[in-house]
Amino acid sequence: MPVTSNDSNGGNQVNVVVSGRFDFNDHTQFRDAYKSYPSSASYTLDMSGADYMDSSALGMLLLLREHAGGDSAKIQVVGCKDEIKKILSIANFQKLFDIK
Amino acid sequence: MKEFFFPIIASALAIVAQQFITHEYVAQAGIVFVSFVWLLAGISIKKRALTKDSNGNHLQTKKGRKNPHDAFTADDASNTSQKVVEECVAIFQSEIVVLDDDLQRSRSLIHEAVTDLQGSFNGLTDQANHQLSMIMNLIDKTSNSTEGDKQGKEDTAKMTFAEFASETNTLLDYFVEQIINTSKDSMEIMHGIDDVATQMTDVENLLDDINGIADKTNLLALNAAIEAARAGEAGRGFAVVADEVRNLSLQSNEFSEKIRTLMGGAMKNILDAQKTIEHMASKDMMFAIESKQKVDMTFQEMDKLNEYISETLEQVSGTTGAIGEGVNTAVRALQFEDIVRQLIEHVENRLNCYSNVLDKMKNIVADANKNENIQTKVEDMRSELNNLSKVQDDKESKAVLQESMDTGDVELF
Repeated sequence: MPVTSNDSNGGNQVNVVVSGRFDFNDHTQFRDAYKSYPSSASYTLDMSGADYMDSSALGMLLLLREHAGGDSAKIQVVGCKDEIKKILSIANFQKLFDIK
Repeated sequence: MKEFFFPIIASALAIVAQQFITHEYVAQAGIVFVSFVWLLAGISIKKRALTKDSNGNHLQTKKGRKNPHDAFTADDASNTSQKVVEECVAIFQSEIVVLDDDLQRSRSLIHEAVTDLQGSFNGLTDQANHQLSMIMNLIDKTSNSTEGDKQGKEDTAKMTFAEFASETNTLLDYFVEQIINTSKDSMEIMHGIDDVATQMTDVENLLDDINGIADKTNLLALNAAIEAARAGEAGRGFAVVADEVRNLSLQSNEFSEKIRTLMGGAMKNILDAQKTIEHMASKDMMFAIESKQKVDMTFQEMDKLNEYISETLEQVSGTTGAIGEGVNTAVRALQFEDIVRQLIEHVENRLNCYSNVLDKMKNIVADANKNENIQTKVEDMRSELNNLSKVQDDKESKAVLQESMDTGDVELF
């Protein structure tokens, strides 16, 4: 399972963990990981196990952001490797997500 | 014959001295001096002859008191010396003409050469100035691209390297944004398709339910037919109804199968669409990263190049300035023509004086032979000699004034 999720604080803090290649094939799992939680929840995306992402993964992150309320979304992206950071940076995602 | 002693000695000394004297004017003065000594010798002989003829007049000398035999010999000598003097005068005069001609040629050659040099130096200055102005234009264009934007919005077609790189960067950002937006939209469609697929699976489950009902109906119809047969003749009509119900259940099954087949086709189409969407949504972002790095590198290279160009252009403009200065110095040095021209004029004047002196000398000798009074002629010649020394003084004073060409910031020509 490249994508797993768990919650804490009564479903208000959702942790999504991605590992390996993060691409199109993960779309169902990734959506399933967050779609049952409300938009008011805080989300943390743990990328420490991921070593690659393509544009469809970036699109999935944007859909997660829309699900979490768009501009009011509270999403942290943590544990990015250098390659992942470069991709997020070239997509200007540092303006949309709290990348740590 | 003692009269010839001094002229001969003087001539010999002059010939020897000519080997060592390199200064032309001194040599010419020497020639004039020797000629003059010869002339005096000639006059002396002539006077002695006259003294003898007129029985000892006012010009009596020791030599004048010699016997008639001596006087006759002296007369011959006088004629010979007069001829020698005339020959000398003729040779010197022709020499003077040759020298004069050479001087004139030198002067015109120098003048032509200096005029050519001046022209080419002026051309050089023009070219250097042209080069400088082109370099200044280049400097303006490379260093003041932002200023250029302000003053010339009409030529927006022109784009500097920096602007080009900036445009490329903007374009790249836009491209990346478009790709991500497309991916996002595709993933949204994928979610919708996922939902449809789930619903279709639900429909298939419902079809299974319908099949179950049809199977049960079939079984019921079979039971009804058995009961109708047991009833005999009275159940005949009911048997027909049971048969129709069984047919309906079989038809229901057929419909279910048809729907299932159609649903299978739809699922296959959905899977195909998924493949297309996956292809559309999945773009490797490495290309963008590499492109961005290249653009950044180009930016840095451009900065370095601009800096280098500016530095080099400044150096080149400095060199052009130095060329201009060198040309100015060269043009100033060409003043030498003026000085040389004046020197040549002096030499010509002096040669003219020599020529005049020689003329007078010739007259004196000729008059002395004709037994005429030569006092005025001698004075004429003295005054010519004075002229010569005046020309000499004049030349010396001017030469002092123009000893150096470096002094003064003169803009000649």
